[in-house]
Amino acid sequence: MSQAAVSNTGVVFDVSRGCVDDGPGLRTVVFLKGCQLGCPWCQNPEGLSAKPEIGFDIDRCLGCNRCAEACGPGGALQRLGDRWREACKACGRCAEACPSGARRLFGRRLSPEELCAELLEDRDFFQGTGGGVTFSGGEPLLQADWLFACAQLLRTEGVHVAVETAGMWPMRLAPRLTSNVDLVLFDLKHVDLAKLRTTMGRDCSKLLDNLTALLRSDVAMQLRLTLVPGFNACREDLSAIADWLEQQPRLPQIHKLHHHRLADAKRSRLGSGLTQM
Amino acid sequence: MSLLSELLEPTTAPPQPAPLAAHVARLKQRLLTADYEICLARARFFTEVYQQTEDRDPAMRNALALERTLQRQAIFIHPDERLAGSKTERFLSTPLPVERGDFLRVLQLELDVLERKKRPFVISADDRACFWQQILPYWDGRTVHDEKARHWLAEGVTAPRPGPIERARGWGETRRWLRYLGRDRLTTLLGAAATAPLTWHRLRNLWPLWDELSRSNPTPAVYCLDVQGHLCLGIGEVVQHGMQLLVDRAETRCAELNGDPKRTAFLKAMVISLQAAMAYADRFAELAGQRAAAATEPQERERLERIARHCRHVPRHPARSFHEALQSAWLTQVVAEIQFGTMDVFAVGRIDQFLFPLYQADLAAGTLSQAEAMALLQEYFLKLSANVAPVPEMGMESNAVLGNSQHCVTIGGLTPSGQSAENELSELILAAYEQLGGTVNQLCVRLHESSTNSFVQRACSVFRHSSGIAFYNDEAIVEGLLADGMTAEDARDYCIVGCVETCGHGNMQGCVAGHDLVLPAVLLLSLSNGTLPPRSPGQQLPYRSGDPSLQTSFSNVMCAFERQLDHQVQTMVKAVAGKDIAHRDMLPAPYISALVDGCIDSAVDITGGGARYDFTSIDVRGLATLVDALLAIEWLVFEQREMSLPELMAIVAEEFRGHEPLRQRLCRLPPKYGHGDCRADELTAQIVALLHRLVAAKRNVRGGRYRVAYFSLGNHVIDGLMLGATPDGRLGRTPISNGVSPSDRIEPPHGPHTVMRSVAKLPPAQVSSGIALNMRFHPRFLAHDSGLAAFASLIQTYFAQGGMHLQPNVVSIETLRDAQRHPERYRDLVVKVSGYSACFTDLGRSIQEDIISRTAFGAPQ
Repeated sequence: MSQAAVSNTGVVFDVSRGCVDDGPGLRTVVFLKGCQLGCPWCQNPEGLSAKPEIGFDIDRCLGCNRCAEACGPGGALQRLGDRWREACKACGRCAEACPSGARRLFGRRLSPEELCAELLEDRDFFQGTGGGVTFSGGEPLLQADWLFACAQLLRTEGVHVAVETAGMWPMRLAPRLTSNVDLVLFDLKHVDLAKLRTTMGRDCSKLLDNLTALLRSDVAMQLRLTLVPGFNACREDLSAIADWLEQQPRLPQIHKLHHHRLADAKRSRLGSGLTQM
Repeated sequence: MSLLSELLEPTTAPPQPAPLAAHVARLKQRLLTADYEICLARARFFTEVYQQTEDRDPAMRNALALERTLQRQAIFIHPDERLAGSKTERFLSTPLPVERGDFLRVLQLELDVLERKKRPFVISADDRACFWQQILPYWDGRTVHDEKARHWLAEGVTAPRPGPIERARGWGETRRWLRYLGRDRLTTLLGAAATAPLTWHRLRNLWPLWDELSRSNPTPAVYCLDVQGHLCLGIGEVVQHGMQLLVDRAETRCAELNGDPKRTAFLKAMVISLQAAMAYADRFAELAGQRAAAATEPQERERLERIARHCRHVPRHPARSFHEALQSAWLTQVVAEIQFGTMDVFAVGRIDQFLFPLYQADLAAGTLSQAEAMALLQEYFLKLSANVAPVPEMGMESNAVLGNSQHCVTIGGLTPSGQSAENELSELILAAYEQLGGTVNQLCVRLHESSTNSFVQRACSVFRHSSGIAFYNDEAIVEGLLADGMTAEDARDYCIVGCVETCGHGNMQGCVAGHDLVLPAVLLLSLSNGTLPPRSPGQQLPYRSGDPSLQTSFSNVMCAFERQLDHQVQTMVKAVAGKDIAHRDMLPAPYISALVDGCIDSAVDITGGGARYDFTSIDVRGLATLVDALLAIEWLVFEQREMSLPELMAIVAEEFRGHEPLRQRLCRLPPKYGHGDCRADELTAQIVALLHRLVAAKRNVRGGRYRVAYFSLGNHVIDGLMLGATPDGRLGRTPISNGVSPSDRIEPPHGPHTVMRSVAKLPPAQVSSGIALNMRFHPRFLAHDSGLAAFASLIQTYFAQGGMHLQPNVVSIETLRDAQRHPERYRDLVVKVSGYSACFTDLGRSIQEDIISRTAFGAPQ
């Protein structure tokens, strides 16, 4: 693939159709790869790394060895145990050869046109239900240029576009975000910067600044608060969050979500060393 | 409220409906905890009368037998009842139609093990003895079931009686069939019947049942049961005009006929039946009057006096109040159920239409409150559910016992002139249903282009508490009924019968159920030249539709399939003819005919073609499994060219043993029905058109047209148990696909709308008898108002695209699993099977697993 083509593609790890939780109506959620936060309770660990990667679900594996054959002599899958991950280039040949779907490629490179053609198949139901497309991740704004190109294409076709973000991106993107999408779903983790730093391992002040910037604009917004016991679910935490929000220019609708543990299985498939909550 | 307290507030659950009125709660509790019983009162009276009247006209015999049953059967008014009318001498039982013969065979097989059945039945020692000594000896060889078998033998529907050589050869085939089924499947299918000790008495009774399966299942792909029924009674007419009017009309018509013996006898039988029904109401009036006189509590006396007052007046005369209208409707129905017997499946029709004038008048006069109306409707719904069928153990894997005979209530939709028919009563019925937590009886909600959003959302919100509702699209269904030849007014006045079947309102003998075609079995037969699945004892000799090794292109495969399908449809039509002739000649239904428009004018019974509209439906099962299997063959054999068709079939016949990677690829890679794939939709359209072409050209013995329906009750589970693996990667013993739903246990589709889009493409004129689309949604989908709105608009969009039907189950796997572990806590958990509604805990294990395995749209990922 030429360099130009690569820069014009986004890395998508899943397209989930028929969702109702991420914006109004019936929605297709596009999950983009790459995130800088790394919350320990992450529900989509396959979205953390910005690069394509291979997921392996040992429960579905038939042991037929077709993946290793497809990987070829000297390929990553000739290595023992989990050491194949170090050498894997995520070319996807093993996933293609796998009969049971135990090996899956997370991260397709798609151009905005390719993605939109796929998404527009559901236009009838978007219109009928007042739904549309939600970009999520990972952190979708890490692929901002590509994301906005997609959003423009979709909006010229009359499709409602929402973006679900955690706010970790350069402040200069805020005006482009507000002018390019119909709805922002903002995942608020916490307002206590010290707590954010110890949990995420990095400075997160950008996150709150971006939220304030968005609240100053007139873009339609929803705040989503995932209640994680031990992090933000107790009275003191919620009180801090409420105080902070009340000082903001406006108060959008708030959706509380409950942390669930379904992602533990996904995490083991990716062999990632994140703490399991 | 401050922001903090809002954040601290637990996530709000949707509001619960108000608790039931105390007496309704007790009625519900009683229904859900009562023993299932067998009552032979009707069987005894029918046997007596039929024995005494052997030389009389069959319609007259039926009327006299009904009359005697209604005169002599013990009657009850149960505590808390506001609507009187008992069907049998037990609380929860069914009038057994001995003269039809199907349940006679079930009892012959299972009477000794009733207490040990998966859902036990209670029977008194007297009744048990009476069955062996009086009932069985008289009816053996004299039932409709036996007559049907004689017709089938004469017409070659079943295999000819074997001579000594054939018998020896047949034994080899039987062994092959038994091996194909396997011991564990046989044990599952026989259930308790396999556990009873084989005494001499039992052996003697079981021996004649050896080839019983072929008496309803003449080829591995064709089922033809003994039932007719399955129609909408003109109850609205009786409520509005009274039964006496029907008597007068029949007598006038009789006088006009100038002594045509057959028709006069029929009309006289009708008059006897109607008068017997009115006299039955008088018995309740008398009983209530006596009990009221003895009652000490004023409230109790008032309740009984009301019953007495109502039963003296209706169903003879037009109902004067909402309460009386429900009493009239219930008694009219009770007598119809007694006349027809188990598995009547009589629909009530559009009660929000024919009850509305009285409801409005009572509200305006202040004689009825909304709460009282709700309680009466709830009692009525519970009564409609209060029936049990002693389904054979084999059927338990796929059927419910409680509410086996679904008495559908239809609401909403268009008026005959094409206006919106939704009214306050429609909404009250939804509220009553919601508060009841559903009953096993299903509520059919008709929607159309101008249905208000609030009505649709109100109906959808019921799913937060119960899954007993199904939605129907007027535009698509009316289009189909017009193509069937109904007038626009009658088509718009349609209602739903049984599971999903479309039916005229009190004017149609639809014969919509009991004739089932198993498409995956047809495919396996065509791919094995008629040898797989092997035939069971007595089944027709295999039809050779072509050697699979000569099927060298996909169009060859389709041609062979078409030949086999054509043969199976022809067999079906011959089989149905045998059954219909037996009904016409031996078991007319004068009482039911009186309630179906057309029969009095023509002076011909419904079984003889007297109804204004007459049809027969063939109900097709396993559409998705068939389409997926064909697509898998096309992909693997003719596109990838990995192996030849005979090689693939050899692997399939061996249940993919040693070829698991191939099976997984067949599950995942070829196009699939219901996944929004163009090729799959194209092939589906081709098959649906083919079936319609083969079926629509046929006529039943009454001259009526044939229609096609796509639903499966729960019988796709039984089909699955009887069938080996299929080329779509489905393993043997697992269910085939249900209704028009995709095979989601093989490969889940991407979102509910992709399924809906494929289903909406089915042309209504080719599936006019009804389709069943089952979808399961996770309760999260409806937890918030935004989800509710999305759910409602999803249904509306699907209907705008031309979809005919949808029945969602909104329940989580966790709830269903917990209900399996603790059935006592979930006695009123209602689910949709594939057409009918049922108490989840009342279902057999296989069908429970089938429901659990359906994709839950909106589940957390």
